[in-house]
Amino acid sequence: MDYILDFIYFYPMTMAFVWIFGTIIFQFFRDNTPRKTIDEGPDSPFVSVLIPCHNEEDCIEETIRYLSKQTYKNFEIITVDDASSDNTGKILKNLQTDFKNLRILTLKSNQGKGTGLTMAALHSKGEYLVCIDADALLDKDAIKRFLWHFQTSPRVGAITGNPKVRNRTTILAKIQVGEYSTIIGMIKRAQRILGKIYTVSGVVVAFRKKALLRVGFWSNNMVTEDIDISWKLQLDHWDIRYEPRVLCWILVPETLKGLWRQRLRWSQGGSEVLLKYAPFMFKWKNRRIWPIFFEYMTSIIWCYCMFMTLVIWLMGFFIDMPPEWALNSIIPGWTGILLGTICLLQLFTGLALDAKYDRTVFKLIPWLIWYPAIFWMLNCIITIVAFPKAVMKKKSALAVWESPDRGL
Amino acid sequence: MGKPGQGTIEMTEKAPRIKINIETGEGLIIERTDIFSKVRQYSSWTYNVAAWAIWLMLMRPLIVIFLWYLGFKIARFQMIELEGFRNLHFFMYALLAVSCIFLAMLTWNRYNVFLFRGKERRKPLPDCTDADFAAYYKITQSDVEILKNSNVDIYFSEDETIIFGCGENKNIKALYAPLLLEKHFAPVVNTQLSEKE
Repeated sequence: MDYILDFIYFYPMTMAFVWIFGTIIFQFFRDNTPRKTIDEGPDSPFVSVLIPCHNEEDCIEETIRYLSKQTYKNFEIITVDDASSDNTGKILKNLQTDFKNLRILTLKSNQGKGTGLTMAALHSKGEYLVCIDADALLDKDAIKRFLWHFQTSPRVGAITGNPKVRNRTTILAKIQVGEYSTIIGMIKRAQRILGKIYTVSGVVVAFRKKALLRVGFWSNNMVTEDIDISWKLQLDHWDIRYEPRVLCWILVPETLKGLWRQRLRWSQGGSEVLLKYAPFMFKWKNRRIWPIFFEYMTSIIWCYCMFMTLVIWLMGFFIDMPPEWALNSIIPGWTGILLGTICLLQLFTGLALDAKYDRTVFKLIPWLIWYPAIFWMLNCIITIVAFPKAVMKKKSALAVWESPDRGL
Repeated sequence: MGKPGQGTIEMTEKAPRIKINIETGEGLIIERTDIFSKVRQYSSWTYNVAAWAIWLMLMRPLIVIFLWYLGFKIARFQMIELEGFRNLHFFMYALLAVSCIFLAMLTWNRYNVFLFRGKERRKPLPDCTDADFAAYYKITQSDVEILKNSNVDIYFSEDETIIFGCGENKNIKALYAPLLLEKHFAPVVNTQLSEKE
């Protein structure tokens, strides 16, 4: 039991230091490097911006109009209306009068985001595809910054941007502002230092079309198409980069139900990818992705250990447990203090380094105190629920989507 | 979308979504605490204060160390004798472990820079062409050209084919078998799937 308790306390502590140091190294060697953005000229590459949508009448017009702020103008917009039952299709048709570079693909039955993006890629004219969600407002220099990476290295298959939360009305949303600014960004930075990225952010990512073609585009049966495509590309030895300067303003769920559904999907998607690509891990040529694979696998094991400890503690109230399994209390002592301190250290490191992109996050520091309590526990429970779902899922089942929770 | 009134949100009526002013950027950040009642607003803060109180309670021994140095004895008693974090060697090992993590990551980073910076091991691949897509979807290059310039309705069927409705009674039939990618990558045979009406 002592080993399990040690694992429960020391694994997150160790990983916290990995994320902190990875972020600091990234900041020092990469994020501070001045980078030119490419200049637009007659030979500038044509870019296609792909926006899959399903019942997005509230957001889609804003998203498309915001694209007019792009400083790079040589692009087209392809929207994929995935059998929306609301006014999304009508809004898109009306927008075509204002935006001559807008085209609409209409899927006549709900096929999911992966299929939507695959269809959009086929219809695109550009070699570089920028994919955003229907609620995502893309920063004005985003396309230029993406292109710099593609043009400076033929090895780059994808680049993921830095999502920032727009809606901050409820506590859940406020905590997510901190989560995106600190934890998610830190993990991506550290993973870049390690060499491979667990996943691009589906909400803001750019792809080289040739790379997608080589791996057969997006899967239509994975609930998180972004995690799957990241692994497909990296197993084909394409480089995936993280560009924190490409900002994208997004909406997050603000109800517990919406958050649960979103995180369950993420967790199930991660587990599906883990199971799908586990056989590939035995090949030496894939060794560089091992750290990401083992980290995710260990996280799942950690969640189950946590759950098991709780069950053993509760059992102790009703039956006499053998001394080596007995748990007097699960309230942490000094280990809890250490864990809490390191958690705060991680949060503040993330905030300090990411705040240059959004100063407003400092206002939300008081709310971040909830992060470890709510999100660690919530994610732990979600993983316990999601993993069996991923194991039991029928491989050929289509991963279609439902109307997302876009906050208040 | 979560309906108002479900989950943790309770609203009397759905307020219209704030639209962003594209020119000025006004409305980019959405923070609409005004849509909650005063009771709801204050209760949110109450939870927050409670959480901080719990946190501070947990951190109490640490605060003692920093704010009242004499409390070192109490902290020592808590850390080593009472709760017993094994012994002080633990912190030495911890410090060593943390330093090792940092050094390992830094070394790995520098090693990768040495190995890859300025060296392109991957030959640049040519951009995608219409021929690539035609071969992948088993259609003709002129079909791809049409698809790249139209608004398209897409119909899916069970038999691994899709039909692109490009308007003016023009339909293009293509292969779509994402779970059997070998079919897409198979060499093109003489008969294309494409049929135009």
